[in-house]
Amino acid sequence: MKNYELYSDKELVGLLRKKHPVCNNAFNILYGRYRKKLFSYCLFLCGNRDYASDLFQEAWIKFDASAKKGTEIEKPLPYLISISRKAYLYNLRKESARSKIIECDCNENLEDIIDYSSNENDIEKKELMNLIKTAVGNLDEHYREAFVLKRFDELTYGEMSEICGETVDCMKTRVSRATSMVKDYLKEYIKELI
Amino acid sequence: MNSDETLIDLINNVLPEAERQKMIAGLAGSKVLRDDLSVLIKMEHGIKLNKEDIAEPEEVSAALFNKLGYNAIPAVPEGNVPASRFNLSVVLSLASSLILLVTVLLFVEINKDTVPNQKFINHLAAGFENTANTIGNKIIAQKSSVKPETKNDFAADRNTIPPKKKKYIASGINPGQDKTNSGNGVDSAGLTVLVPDDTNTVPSNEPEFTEIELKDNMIDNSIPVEIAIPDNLPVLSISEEQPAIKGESIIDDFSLEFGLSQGYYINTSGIKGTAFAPYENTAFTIYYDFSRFFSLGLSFSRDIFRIDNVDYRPDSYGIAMSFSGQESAGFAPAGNIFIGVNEPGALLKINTGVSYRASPNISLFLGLGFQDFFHLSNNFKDSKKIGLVFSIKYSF
Repeated sequence: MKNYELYSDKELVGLLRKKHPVCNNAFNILYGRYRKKLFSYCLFLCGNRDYASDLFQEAWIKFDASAKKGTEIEKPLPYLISISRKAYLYNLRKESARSKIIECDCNENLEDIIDYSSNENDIEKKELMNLIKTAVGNLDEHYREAFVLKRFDELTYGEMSEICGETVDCMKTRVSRATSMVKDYLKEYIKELI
Repeated sequence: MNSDETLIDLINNVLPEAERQKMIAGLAGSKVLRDDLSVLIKMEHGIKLNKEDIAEPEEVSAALFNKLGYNAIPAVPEGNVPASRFNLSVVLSLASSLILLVTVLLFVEINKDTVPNQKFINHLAAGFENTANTIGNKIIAQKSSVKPETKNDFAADRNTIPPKKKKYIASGINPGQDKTNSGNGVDSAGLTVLVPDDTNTVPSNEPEFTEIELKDNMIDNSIPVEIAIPDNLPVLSISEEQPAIKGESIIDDFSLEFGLSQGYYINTSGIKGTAFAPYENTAFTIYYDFSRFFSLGLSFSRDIFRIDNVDYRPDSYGIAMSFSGQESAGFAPAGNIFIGVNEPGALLKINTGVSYRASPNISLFLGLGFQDFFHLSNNFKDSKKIGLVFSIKYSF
């Protein structure tokens, strides 16, 4: 059996057009590479676990369909994020009321959003994780998105600017301000943790 | 680049050397920068922890793969150290318990071996006693080739014989009748027996066997004709004891079993059952037969289980205990239990059926099997299967 782990993203996307089990293996590898980053983005974007799951699924389904049609996708993660983002914005425009609900969820239930069912028992670490997600959740949408794309998904400013439709400088500024705001938020609590 | 970005690059060790030196110099002279650095270190650490922890729910993945028509291939869990530790500790515990158990069983078995051996020695001693041959009314005591110390052992052994028993053996003989007999006589088979003296003791320096004149009425069933004794006649005959000695090889208590099973899921939704795939449901076991009906063994099992449309192919290691009942025409009720651990969790197998002994060393088993695979990582889940089990067992 071939070791598909060694394949590049572009090669794997090309293999999605092949028959089973090749396409199955390729999809599994791509899914393993980007599932966490995409879900982080979706989660911080909408602040609701169920809604994030819908966005997450929609992105993968459209991504797979595009790949099967023959679309050249060199960077799957920005592509997937773009699909999620478009779906999110489309829904926002379609249902303005829903955004209020989402924002409400984002602010009230952030502690429930992230899955802490791992074996991590260190209370201090959990506190820190809670602080981070609360700080990020409190950011304005543009800043939050920029911060998550940069810090969580580790995209380049170029990729971020393509996704958000803004200039690279704009994205840099948003990330910088978002970082500063998160830092200031943490400062109040960090002394207790140190 | 502002100071926060520079500090983050410094934390992530991606800052160019020149800027790094400049920033370090700045940190040395600015408490504000140092405070910012400590906060940003915490922030980066918190982000890293969140990145590792945030994941889509398993049911979302399952539904997605279902919609797309793919089968999820379970990847090795990232950073799943506790699970590995769990497995390792369980494996070590099981292995230690098994080694202890096997040691105890072997110890018991070896001790058991010493009992028949002691019996054999006693019998051997009796054999030496009984090598006297009768010719007419004479008893010719054959000079034994046994070493003197062995003789002394035998003599000591004789000393332990209760006097009453000796009197019974020597019935028909007057102890004081023949001084040359020194208390020895013959039993009904014409063999030399010992009779204690008045003090119920036998001299340790037993005299050499000598030709003894017997009275006509002394032995009723003595052989009336002279028997020629070939020179090469073996002095001792221990043929009855030999199988018992030869059969005590430890390897004889071991057996190897290879099994195949095919199960149908009985609890997971959306599962219709699987096609026959023998190489994905196999088990190999080395058994130690510690009793007639029970065996204990180390087992390796490779199976396929499905949880939420995700296929798991765990390689399980564990202990197995098998039972095989009384045979009738080669058939016997049989069953076995396997408890093992694997990377995602644990596996339990219970099989029951009939075994058939095809040859002295080979037996076949066919039965019903129940298998339960426990996924013990983030959320406890299990997958149960029931189906047919076939195995072949080779006993050494």
